[in-house]
Formats: sequence, structure tokens, C-alpha cells
Amino acid sequence: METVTDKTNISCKLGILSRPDGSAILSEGNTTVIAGIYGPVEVKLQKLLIDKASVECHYRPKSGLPGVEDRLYESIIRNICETSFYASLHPRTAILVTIQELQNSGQLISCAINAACLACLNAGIDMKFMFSAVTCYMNFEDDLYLHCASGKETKAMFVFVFDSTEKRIIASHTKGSFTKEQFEEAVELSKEGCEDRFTYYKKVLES
Amino acid sequence: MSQSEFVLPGHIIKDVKSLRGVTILGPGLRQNEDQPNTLCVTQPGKLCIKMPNVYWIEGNRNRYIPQKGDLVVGVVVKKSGNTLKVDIGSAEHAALSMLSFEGATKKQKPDVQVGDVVYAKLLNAHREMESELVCIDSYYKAGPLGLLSNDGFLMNISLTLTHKLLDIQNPLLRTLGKKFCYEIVVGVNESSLDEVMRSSAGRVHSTITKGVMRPASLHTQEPTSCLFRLPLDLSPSQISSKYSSVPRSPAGGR
Repeated sequence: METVTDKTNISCKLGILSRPDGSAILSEGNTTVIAGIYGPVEVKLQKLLIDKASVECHYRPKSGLPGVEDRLYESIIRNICETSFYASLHPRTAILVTIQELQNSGQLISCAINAACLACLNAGIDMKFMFSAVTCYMNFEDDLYLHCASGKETKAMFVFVFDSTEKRIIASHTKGSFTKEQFEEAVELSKEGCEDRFTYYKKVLES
Repeated sequence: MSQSEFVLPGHIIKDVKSLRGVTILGPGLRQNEDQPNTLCVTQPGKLCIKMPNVYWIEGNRNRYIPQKGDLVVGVVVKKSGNTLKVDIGSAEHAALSMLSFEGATKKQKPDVQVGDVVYAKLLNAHREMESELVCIDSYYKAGPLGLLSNDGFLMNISLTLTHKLLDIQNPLLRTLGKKFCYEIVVGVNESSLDEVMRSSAGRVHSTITKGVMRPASLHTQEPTSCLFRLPLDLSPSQISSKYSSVPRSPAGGR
């Protein structure tokens, strides 16, 4: 499959790994991750759920073993995947999401979430909706922007995850200090960014 | 059958046609509970409609989901008492009773070893339960079902290729048949294809090397129960270029 590059500086390739059921390599700017999906597969007895598939996420950092922050990423991605999957269609099975970080130059969470979504689409997992994450930054002059300009100090960082049907927020993750108005402004700005992602997804999958 | 646009999960299909209040849904579609008479797409792929009331999505799912009545190719992984556990590529191993082979009785069971390949039909496939295989039809006859010969190749192929091979219009198998005699078994569990060669000795030669099979085991040397499995999804043109062989485990040898 061809590498598809977008005007928003995203590029992606689907199905690059042969072992998983679905995989995607995604780079946003200089941040790059690989996501692989296995599912529905056999589940360990202790994680077995009788009414739905259990979703597991494994996040591997660039080097070394996963730490506390990586566990946070895992739980964020797992929660998002759980809401978007039709897990009740495959009871007593597991869906495994594996994320491998290749390069981190900011906006790592949103890149990992987007890669997970594309890998799920590649694997053909039953989903209620697609999701896309957008990272929004605020500098000390209180300007909001979507692309991380390197070297500039940021006062706050917002990560919003939207669904594809009604563009509702399904997850948000923030860092730094900001006012309520600035938060709402960031939501609006991110919403515009997520529209681009969804059109990009469609372009990638159709190619 | 009409094929229309490419759809993604979350897409809503409106104005769904039905025949006497019945609409038949295939994979990738769910009834939308929020609005009546609409469908919700759950998988990316091409939306296919067969008039008057059949809808499905033609996507590229990789993992097999068992469906009742499917003909599948599986590998025996465990033998316990009267039941065999067969790996058909789904989340759970399927059960195959030793008594569901043609002519099998409690005293006279078929000689099945772990590692053997069987062609079977899914008698039962429910998501809440273990799926069940049989190697006989409702008249207790085997037909094409049953144990497959060890002198063959097992390959994993994509679902699209399976459908192409099973299509009666497809010239590939007929063209191959003109060159040499062979048997092929295609299971719809998305990734299993078993090619069983009848030793037709010298008649199979270089023409095959560019085709589907490796020549070495086909003529001069005896095919010493070789079973090859390809992990990749391949189109016929790719098979020869990407072919890699994995000898089968000694446990399965006879």
C-alpha cells in the first residue's frame, strides 16, 4: 500500500506488519508510531468477559521497559477503543492493541490514538464510529495553535478525541493552566482539525 | 448486485429496502437503534446491495469469524478422547467429533493425528459457544469433506483470493488443470487453502515453477509429507515470488 501524505503533515501506511490482523504506521510531523491489532483472539481466563470482548492495550516506548507514563497512555487508548468497538459482538474473546513508539517530538498521545484507529480500520474490527485525536497547544501569549512549533514554550496542552458521527468529545487530556474560555476555544479549534483527520482516514482507506 | 460507495464505520444508510418487512444484513452492518429504517456501518469497505433486500459490506477483515454452514480447512491441534480440537483461524478452536467422519463407529475410529489437515463443515457457530465441525453431510456421507492428504501444501490466502478461486467463472484453476492433474481444497476461513497434488510425476515440471507450487517435491523426489504454510496474504502472481517454506512439525508426520 502506498504512503499517503496529507497537507496537515500526516503520513500513513496501512498493513505494514504481516503478523497482526491490522497495522498502521503513522507520523504526524516528526512523531511516529506503529500500531498493530490482533482480534478477536483467544483470551486469558482471568481477563475473560462473558458478555463482551475484552480490550487490552500495550504501549512500548522507544527504548527500555514501559513506565508509569506509558501505563497512562495505555489506559487512555484502551478506554477510547472500548467505547468505539462493538465489543458485544465477540464475547469471550480479546482485542489486543499494541503501540510501538518510534519517534516522539510532541503530540505523542494523539498520534498513538490516530494510529490505533487506523489499525482497527485495517483489521476490520466492528466499530460504532471512528475516532481521531487532535493536540492543541497554547503559548504564553495565550495563542492557540494545532501544530507544535519547536523551540517555543507552551503554557498548556490539550488533547481532544472526537467521534466521527456527531463530533462529540469522547476523551480529553490536558496539561498546564488555562481558563474556561480558553478551553472552549481549544475545543472549537480542535474540532476543525479533526474534520481534516476524518477526510484523511477516508483517503487512506480508499487508496 | 450493485456496488456503490466506500463506507466507513459510523456511516448511516438511509432508505433501506425490505421485502415483506424483512431486510437481510451481511457482515459489517447493524440495525441503527436510534432511527427506524436505517443501518449503521461497522466496518470499512464497499457497500454492496443485492435487490431487493440484501445488504452487506465487502471489507478486508483478516480474522475469521465462524459462520454456520461454512466449509473450512483446519489443522488438528489436540486430541482428547472422542473429540478433536481444530484450529480454523478463529478466536477459539473448533470441536470435531471422531464419530462425525464417514463410516466411523465407537470401535472403528478414523486415524487422525495432531497436525493433520481436515476439510470440514461448521455445524454450529454461535458466538457464545464453541463452534462445532462435522466431516459428513446430513446423509452421513463424506463427499469432499474429511481428512486431507499429507502430500500437499497448506497456504493462508486472503478472503478476496478465496472468493476469486471459488468463483466458477474464474479461469485460474481450469487453466492449471489443463497443464497437470491436481486437487485443490479452498476453505472460506479466509486464510486456508490446501493444495493436494496427486503425484503425476514427470508431467509436472518447469511450467509449475513459475506458478503456484514449488517443483522440488513434485517430480523427482518423493514429497515427504510436506506441508507449507504462508503467513502472508498473496495474490496468485505474488505466490511464486514470496514463497517461503516451513516444514511441518514432526508430531504430524505419519
